This record gives sequence, C-alpha cells and structure tokens, in this order.
Amino acid sequence: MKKYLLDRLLQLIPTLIGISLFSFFIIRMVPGDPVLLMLGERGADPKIYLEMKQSLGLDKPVTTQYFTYMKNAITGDFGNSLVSKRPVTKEFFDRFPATLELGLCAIIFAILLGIPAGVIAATKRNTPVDYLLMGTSLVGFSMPIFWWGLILIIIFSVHLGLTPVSGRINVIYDVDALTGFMLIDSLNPSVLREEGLGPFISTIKHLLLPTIAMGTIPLAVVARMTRSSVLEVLRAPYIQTAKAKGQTYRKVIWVHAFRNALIPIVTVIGLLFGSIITGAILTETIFSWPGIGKWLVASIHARDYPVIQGGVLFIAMMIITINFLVDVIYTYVNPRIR
Amino acid sequence: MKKLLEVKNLSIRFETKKGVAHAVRDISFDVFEGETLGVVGESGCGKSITNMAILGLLPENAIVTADKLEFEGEDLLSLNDKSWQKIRGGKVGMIFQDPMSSLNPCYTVEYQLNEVLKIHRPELNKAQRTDKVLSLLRDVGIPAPKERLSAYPHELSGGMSQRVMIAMAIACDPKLLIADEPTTALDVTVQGQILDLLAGLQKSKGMSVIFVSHDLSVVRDITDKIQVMYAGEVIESGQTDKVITSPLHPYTKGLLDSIPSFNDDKSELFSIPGIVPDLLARPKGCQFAKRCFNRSEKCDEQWPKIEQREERTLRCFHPVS
Repeated sequence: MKKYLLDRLLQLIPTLIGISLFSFFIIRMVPGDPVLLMLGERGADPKIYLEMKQSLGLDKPVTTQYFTYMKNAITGDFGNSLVSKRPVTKEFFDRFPATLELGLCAIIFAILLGIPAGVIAATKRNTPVDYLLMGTSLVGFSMPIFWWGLILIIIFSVHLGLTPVSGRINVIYDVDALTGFMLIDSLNPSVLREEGLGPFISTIKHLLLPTIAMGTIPLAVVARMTRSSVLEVLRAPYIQTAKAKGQTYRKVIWVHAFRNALIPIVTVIGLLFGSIITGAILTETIFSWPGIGKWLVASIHARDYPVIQGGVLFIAMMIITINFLVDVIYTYVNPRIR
Repeated sequence: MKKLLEVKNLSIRFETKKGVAHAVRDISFDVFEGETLGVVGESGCGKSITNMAILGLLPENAIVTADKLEFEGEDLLSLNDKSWQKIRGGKVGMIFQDPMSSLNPCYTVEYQLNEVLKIHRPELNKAQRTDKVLSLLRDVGIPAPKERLSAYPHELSGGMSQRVMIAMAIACDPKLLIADEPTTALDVTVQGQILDLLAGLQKSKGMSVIFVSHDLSVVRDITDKIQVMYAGEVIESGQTDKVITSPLHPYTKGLLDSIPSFNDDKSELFSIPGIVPDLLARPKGCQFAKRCFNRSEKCDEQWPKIEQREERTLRCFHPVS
C-alpha cells in the first residue's frame, strides 16, 4: 500500500507539468490582449501600454515567461491576478470551498438517488418501473445544465417562491467563513447563539436548486451504471449460492449482489468528479454561486493569464487527488486488488 | 428406509419468445434417506434444472408442474418464500459446478460460512459459530483452518474453494445434499479427493446425496442408484451396478462406451453421433431415435412410455439386452 501511494504521488509530477504547459500556451494562443483589455477599449497611450506590459513580464518570450512562472510556482507563488492584483492562490482557496460544497452535494444527491434507482430498475428489469426509471434517467442525462437550471428557477423560485434564485446564503445573515463550507460555518456555536438555525436553513435552501441542476447528469449516469452493474452481478454463480443458502431476497440483493456491483460504480463516481467541475462553470454562472467556476469564466473573459493557469492547475490537482482517494476506497471495496 | 424426496411426473417449461421449451418432461424419482442418487446425461439434458426445481431456484419464467414434488412429505409446489428459505441451506444443501465463482469474491471464508449458520442456527452465539465454522473446515479437510478464516475466495485454489462450498452446504446438517457437477471444473487429482470427501461425509452424516455429473465413470463408484437423463427425460434408472454392467437403453450403452480406458486397444474413442434435439422442436417419437443405432420406424412415430423392468425403469422400445 505504501509503495502504491508513493507511485501515485510520483505520477503526479509529470501530469502537473503537462497540464501547466497546456494551460500556459493555450491561453496565450487565444486572441485578445490582457493589457489592452485592462487599459480599455479605445487603446491607451503606447508608452503606458509598453510600461504595463513590461511590468507584467508579458514582453519577454513565451518560453522565458513559462520558466519564470514555473520557478515561482515551485515556491508556491502562482502570481497575482491581473484584475484584482491579489495572489491567485488566495483567490482560488477563497472560492474553492463554495464549489467543493456544491459539488459534494451534487455527487451525494446523485449517489443517494441514483444507486437505489439503479438497483430497483435492475431487480424489476423489463417492467414498467424499470422503463420509467431508465426513461427518466435518459431525459435527465440529456438535459443541458443551463437550461435545466433555468427551468428549476422558473418553477421553484419564480412560480412557487420556495427557493432563492442566487447566492449561498441570505444577505441578512453574516456568517464568518471559518471553513468556507457554509453548511458547517452556519452551525458555528457563535452563529447559532446569535441567529439560531436561520443561517443553516437559508444555506440549505440556497443549495437546493444548484445541487439538483448540477447533480442531475451524474444522477442519471450513476443510475444507469448501477442498473447494468447489478444485472451483470445477478447472473454470477455466487448469487445462486447465496439463494441456495436460504438467504432472503433482500439480502441476496444488498449483501451479495450490491457489494460486487459497487466496484464499477465507485470508478464511475470518481470520474464524475471531473465532470462536476465542468458542471460547476455553468451552474455557478446561472445561480451566481461564488465559486471557482464563475471565477474562471470571468478570468477567461479578462484574459487574466495567471488566474487561468493557476486555476486550471489547482483543479487538475483536486481531480487527481479525488481520483486517488477513489483508488484508495476501491481497494476497500474490492478485496481482489488489496 | 424412509422416503425423503418424492418426485412424480415433474415437468418444467419455459415460455420463450420462440415458443414453449419443455426443458424437463414427465420425470419421476425417489430419494430415500441415506441414499446416493447419481444423475447422468449430456449437458443441457435437464439435470441442473431438475435440481433447481427441488430448491425452488428456477428463473421466474419457468413453469413447474408435477403430480407430486414432496420433501419429507411437504409439498414443495405450494411453499412460500419463508418456507423455501428454511429448506435451502437448512434441510437441503447444494454445491455447484464452478467453485471459484460460486463463492462471493467480496467476503471472507468466515463471513460466508457464518452467514449460513446465522440464517439456520440463530440460537448460536458468536463464539459457538466460530467453533462450528472451524470444525466444519476441519471436516472438509482444509489444513490450518484458523488461518483460512480471513481468506478471500481469490486466495484459495479450486479444490479449496470447493471444500469451502461443501462446508457451507453441510453446515446445518442437511438431510439432502445436491452436488451439481461438483468436480467438473477441477483437476483430475483434486477431483478424486473431492469425491472421496463427499463419499466420506455422506457415510458419516448419513445424509442423502443427489450427485449430478455428465461423467458416468465419476458417478459409478459413489452412488447407489443411477438415473440417466436425455433431453429432459429420464430414459433409464436403476441400481448403479446393474445399470453399469447391463445397460438397457442404447443411450446408456453409448455413454458407457464413450468412457476412455487405458486397457483399450481400440485406436479411436467411441462417441455417440449427433446432438441433443432442440427443446423448442422436439421430435414426435423417441427423443433419442435420431442418434440411436437400434431404432425402428416405431421409434420415430411413437413416444415410448416409461416402463418397469425388474427394479429398473426404462423408456425404450428396443432395449439393448
């Protein structure tokens, strides 16, 4: 196990170098000049323009810029945002908890509904229940997030008035960001003393729609994957054995079949975390969620090179870490690779 | 001897899109206490399906009819789920063909053995269960049973896995053990060991055994009675030694002749020509007629009835001897 962990850590280095190269050069290939964008549409005095470019180090050859960037990055300095002038690292970690909180909620939503739906569909194969569940999941899978998000807002916020439209918490509450996770911060004893459960409930209400919008596609994927995985496992001889032991139907499904079916499902859930980030960009834009998705979109518009580079690199790191955790979980689920 | 299992005119059909497949047709047999019955026949002739019917484990699209299907006088056809669960693993134990995939890969040997005890012997506490598991593993000849407790199935060899399966099947002292091709997937050397083990357990526990195999030479030594099946029908049955030494049905004779022998000076192996008929389009007369060396026109036209012949049953117009 230790060797495995070490191997994975070493693999991280070439991956991150590759990603940094990619994001660094791609963004510079995109038309648009960050300095011009900062100085304004009409174009500024060429002298000021040149000075600005020099101060940002953008006048040097691209390769030189890359090596300077990497040299600083190794020491943990990912540069400052061209727009806000604050360190990229700080900007990122201020926003990341919001995205992570939403992403985790979306994944949990997908797992809690998707797995039972898949198991039920598998055990009731080729019945109306199965058709209904799988049909719904196909619809869910086909729905573009931006459209689905708007539909949710129209129904639940505009017509029914049940949920807020944007943000993480009602502005009347003042909650200190201790962990950055609003669900945890709003339960901070000092907050509870002053405001009661109000902030927590408000947080949940704010999370509801973005979670559904973001979690629907993963939900559909998990449900379909679970169904086919359970169906596959149900044909295995050890299921016959379990029945021949006198085990109840419920336990045959949940103890014997599900445990084995879980192995591919865990892999898929790990992969879904990657797509969650893509989903975050759309979801956060629609629901004005102050996370990294919205932040990255804004930085691309402003050609904010350091933010894009740093952001992409951090996200890659997060996905790699999550996949690594999934691998660790995997060894617990599947005794054969322990 | 008391009758343990009584099967009378059992038929099993499957409704498929292409029509009704009669997988098992009109078979009758009894198993007495302490008796070993061998069921022989080619693959796909209804051996396993019959056993699944005895345990109520057939797929949902199977239609089972019988004049009698009784275990210890209890009508199996009218059982509810709960009563089935008492029989499965409790009164009737079963072992399967492929031990490597018959154990759940996600659970340890101890867990899977414990599970049977938890279901059928709820009065045992944890320590008693562990003791019982260890003694079961010793009974089936697993060396160093304590160290095997925490092993996962992939860490066991085929022979070991089958021993664990046997331990699981006999854990609750079943009256009847169904062994469905228990040695087919194993090496020849291991095969012998498992057969010896089963024969030994049968004697020491006094249980009845239904031993299914496509190989007559395997069944020969360890059974009291043999029943030969072809295309879902019992075509011949009787005392093992009688059937082996003087087969009546041409198919039984063919099976016996197909057993390779070291002393044989024949250069070629004997084999029965042709294949088992399609269950969706059964011939009108004798099911074996097409492949039979002894057939007449009558065989193609009429379906032979099962008849009694000096303690043997036979479904054939032209017996061999």
